[in-house]
Amino acid sequence: MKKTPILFVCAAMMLTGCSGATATIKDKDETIMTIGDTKYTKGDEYDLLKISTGTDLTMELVKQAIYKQEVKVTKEMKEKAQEQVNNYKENMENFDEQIQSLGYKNSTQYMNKVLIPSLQASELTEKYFTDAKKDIQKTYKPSKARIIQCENKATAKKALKALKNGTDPEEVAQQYMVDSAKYSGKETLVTTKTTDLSTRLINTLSKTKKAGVIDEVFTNESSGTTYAYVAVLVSNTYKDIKDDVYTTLSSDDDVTKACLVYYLKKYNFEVHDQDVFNNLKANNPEYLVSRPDLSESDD
Amino acid sequence: MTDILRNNWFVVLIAIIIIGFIGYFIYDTNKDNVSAKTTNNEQVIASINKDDITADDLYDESTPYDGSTIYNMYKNAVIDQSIKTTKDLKKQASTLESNIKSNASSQSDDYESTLTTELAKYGYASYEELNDYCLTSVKEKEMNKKYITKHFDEVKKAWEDKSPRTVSIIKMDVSDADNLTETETKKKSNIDKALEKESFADVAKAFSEDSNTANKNGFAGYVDSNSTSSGSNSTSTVPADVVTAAIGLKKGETSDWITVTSSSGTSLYKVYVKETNSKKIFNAKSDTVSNQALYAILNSDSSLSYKILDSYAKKLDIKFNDKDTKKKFDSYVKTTYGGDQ
Repeated sequence: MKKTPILFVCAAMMLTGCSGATATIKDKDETIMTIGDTKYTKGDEYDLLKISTGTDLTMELVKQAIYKQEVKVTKEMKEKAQEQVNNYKENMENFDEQIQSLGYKNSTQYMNKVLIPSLQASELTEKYFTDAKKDIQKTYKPSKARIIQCENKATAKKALKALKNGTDPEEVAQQYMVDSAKYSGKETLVTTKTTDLSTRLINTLSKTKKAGVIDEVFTNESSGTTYAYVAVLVSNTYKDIKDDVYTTLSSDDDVTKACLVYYLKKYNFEVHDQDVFNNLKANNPEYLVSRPDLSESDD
Repeated sequence: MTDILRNNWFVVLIAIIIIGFIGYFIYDTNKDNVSAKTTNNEQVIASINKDDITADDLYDESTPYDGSTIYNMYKNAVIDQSIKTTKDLKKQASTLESNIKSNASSQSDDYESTLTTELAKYGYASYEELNDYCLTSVKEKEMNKKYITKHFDEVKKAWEDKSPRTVSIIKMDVSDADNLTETETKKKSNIDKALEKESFADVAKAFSEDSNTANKNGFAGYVDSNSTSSGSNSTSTVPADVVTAAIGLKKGETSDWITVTSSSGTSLYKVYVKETNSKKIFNAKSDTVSNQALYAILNSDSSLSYKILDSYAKKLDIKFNDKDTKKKFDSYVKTTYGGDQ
């Protein structure tokens, strides 16, 4: 008999732990339409919307909440959005009808729901490059350099010697670079996203403390051919190259995602609906910042 | 106490292991469960510092996109109440369900979640309702078929403008259409000679190199002028040039040789028009042909699907209790089917 309460406790604990919370709307029982003997409520409609597009829309609302904190809507933004609307109206017939067919009441609502958030998104991405300076440096190892692509190591060694003698990199490139070289001694931004340079060259440029000629020949295979490279570091000081880093990386999908994750962490993003949680867990576990274990297990 | 533990150490050990196992089981079951949160009497779906996204916020944000959801809910209810569930329809629904599951599982391991999202767009709230979706789909086909049969003369005009017909083909692969080898020339000549004496079906059966149709006496099924465009909804496998030739022929006529070059090589085709009577095609014994005809009729008039649904809806008591819902429904119907409500 004494064992019975323990068993009850265990069974109750297991049963209560079977499902998470699901959030629903206030007037979920309100009838929206009656078709013969079938009655549909607002709750029925909400459930379908949540399953089909709920996760994307939730993330959109979360982004807008982050914009509110990070990027205030300025007069310039409003003017720019208005300018876009004016352009659409000039170049598109029935613009108002078209946005109404998309569900927006008028151009003002379209401006507030679509155009201004889009401008805020760009502004937030730009801000991210300042706010997350350390993360960006650590992940993307950005540096600005003048690189010369040579046919082989022997030519690259000659180019290196000329560089060390103080010859201008572009002049050296004219003499030693391979035909149709991508790297011809001009200033270029190098990051871990630069796929046609060796990791060793990218790391060396990022770690080197002083600007100048890197005393090493690097090799990398590209489309089945191995090329040799020599480089002159222009700068890896983040504040000097930040604008180039932003221009080069801002449209990269990984960076856009990392930007969102950065602010989700900053604002302690939490999900309180099991359906949305499960959907994010399956498709974007990195957004569940309170559960870093979920995205780590995918690596 | 020490004596009890010492005398029963094995039982205690087993108890500790069991408790540990239960503890881990409870942790593992619950670790992905989210906690509920409310703010101002509204249930919260997600939150960040200083801001909560509530279920009501999400519902309001969905407004621009929910016209199709409301329409599908309406459509499902009308169809389900208008067409009686028969054994045959149930069987067709089960076959459709198996096909969907089989296709989905071959594309993704997580197919249940993908199907759940898709089903929600069509008005079904969970994966468990897949069979309901299939049953409504086959009922919808039945409903469309009934309506078109009854109103055939009204709806056939737009479809007949697309020159519907059934065709048979003979295919002969060649290495170079302009310089046939001796064997190819001989085979081509044999086909031409055979066509003078025998039926197209017999010649196709004997000579055609098309693996899909040769064993069906060359019968390639339904085509219409839409089958010639690459972006069409046509399910025909007959090459566009062959369809174009067929469209220019009358019933019982056979084309000249048509050269078709594709990524798989060059082939010569002959096409024979078997049937051009639209009513006979719509009522064809072959399910494939009659189904293709049904969808071609529906596609030939963008408002027909809604017109059919509306004719059945009129027999039911329908009430929109919410003005916004009616507005969204009307707007969706107008945009999609161009109809006025």
